[in-house]
Amino acid sequence: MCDTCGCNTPDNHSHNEHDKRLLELHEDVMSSNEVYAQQNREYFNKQKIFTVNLLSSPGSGKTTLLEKTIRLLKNSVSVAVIEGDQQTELDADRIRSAGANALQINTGAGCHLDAHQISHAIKEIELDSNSLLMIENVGNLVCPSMFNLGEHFKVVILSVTEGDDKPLKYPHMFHAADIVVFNKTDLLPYVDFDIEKSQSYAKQINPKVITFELSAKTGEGMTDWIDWLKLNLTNK
Amino acid sequence: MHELSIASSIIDSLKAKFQDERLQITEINLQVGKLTCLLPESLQFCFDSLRQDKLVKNATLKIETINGTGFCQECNEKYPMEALYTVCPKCQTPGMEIVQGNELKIKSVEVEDV
Ligand SMILES: Nc1nc2c(ncn2[C@@H]2O[C@H](COP(=O)(O)OP(=O)(O)OP(=O)(O)O)[C@@H](O)[C@H]2O)c(=O)[nH]1
Ligand SMILES: [Mg+2]
Ligand SMILES: [Zn+2]
Repeated sequence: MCDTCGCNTPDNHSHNEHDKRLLELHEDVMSSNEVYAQQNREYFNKQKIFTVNLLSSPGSGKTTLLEKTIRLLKNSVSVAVIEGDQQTELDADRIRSAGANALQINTGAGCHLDAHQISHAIKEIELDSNSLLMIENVGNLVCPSMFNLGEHFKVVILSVTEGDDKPLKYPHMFHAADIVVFNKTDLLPYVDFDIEKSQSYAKQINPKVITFELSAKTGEGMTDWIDWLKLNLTNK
Repeated sequence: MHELSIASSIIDSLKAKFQDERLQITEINLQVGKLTCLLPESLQFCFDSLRQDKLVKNATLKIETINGTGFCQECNEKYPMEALYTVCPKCQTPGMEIVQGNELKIKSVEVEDV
C-alpha cells in the first residue's frame, strides 16, 4: 500500500494523478426508471392494452375493487392483473378466483413496484391485445408515487376509515394521481369522513383529478367507475 | 423506505458510468428539490448503509436542497411554493405548475485516480 495516499499501488508512483477533479453530470436519478416506463408505455399503446396503476395505503380495498371490477367486466373484455406485495401470493390467488389472469411480484423489502419489474412481468404474463391491465402496487401512500410504471392512469384509493385529511398529509401521492376513488362508502354512517372536504383537499393539490365514490363491498357506486374504464377501453 | 432504493439507484448509475475507469469518487453533489418526497437525512443514512462498493466507499454525499417555485397560469407569475398544496398567494388558484423543486439530480462528482 502507498504510504502517501493509501492507495493499493506501490508507493513510488507520482501523486499528481491523485489530484481531485470535478465532473459535471447533471444526471436525473429517476431517468433509469423512466426509460423502462417509456418502453412499457410504448408496448401498451402498440398492443392497445389500457393500463391502470392502483395505489393506496395497506387495506384500503385495492384487491376488493379489482375482484369486483373483474366480475363486472370479464365477459366483455380480457382482464389481467399484476399484483405487487412485499410477501405472499394471497392477492394473486384472490384475483384468479375472480376470473382473471394474475401474476404476483413479491418486492421483499421493497416498498413499491418499479418500471423494470413491470417490464419483466409483462413478458411473463400473457397479455391479450385490446385488453385491460390493472397493476396493484404495494400498499403504501408515499414511495410508489415516485415510480412511473408506464401506466395510462394512476388510480389512488382512499377508504373512508382513513380520515379525510389524507390528501394534505400525503400530498405526493395525490399530486401524482389521475383518479381518486373514495372506497368503503358503506361505512360512512360509522365514521367522521367528509367526502366533499377530502375532495377539495385533493383538488387543492391536483385540480384536474377525477373522483369516484363507491363501496367495493356492496357494489354501490361501481357503475361510474366501470363506465369510466369502458370508455377508456374503447378509446384505446 | 423509498430513500433506500433512491440511494441504490444513485450508486448503480455511478457504477454504470465509472466502473471501467480507474478512479474513486470522493464527493457526490446531489440536488434534491423540496417538493419531492425525499428526506435528505434518510437519503444520507441509506447511502451510508450501501457504500460498500470501492467506487463510492470514501465518497461524501453532499445534498443541496432546492426550494420550490410554482407558476400560476392565472397571474402569469412565479411564486415560492412551500408544499404541493400551496395555492397562488395572489389569486388563490390551486395547482400551480411546479417550475422548480422537483429535482433529484446528481449534479457533479469529485473524483481522483487510483
Ligand atoms: N366495509 C367495507 N370493507 C371493504 C371495502 N372494500 C374492502 N373492504 C375490506 O377491507 C379489507 C382490506 O381490503 P383489501 O381489498 O384486501 O385491501 P388492499 O388495499 O388490497 O390491501 P393490501 O393489498 O394489503 O394493501 C378487507 O377486509 C376487505 O373486505 C368496502 O367497500 N367496504
Ligand atoms: Mg391487496
Ligand atoms: Zn395566481
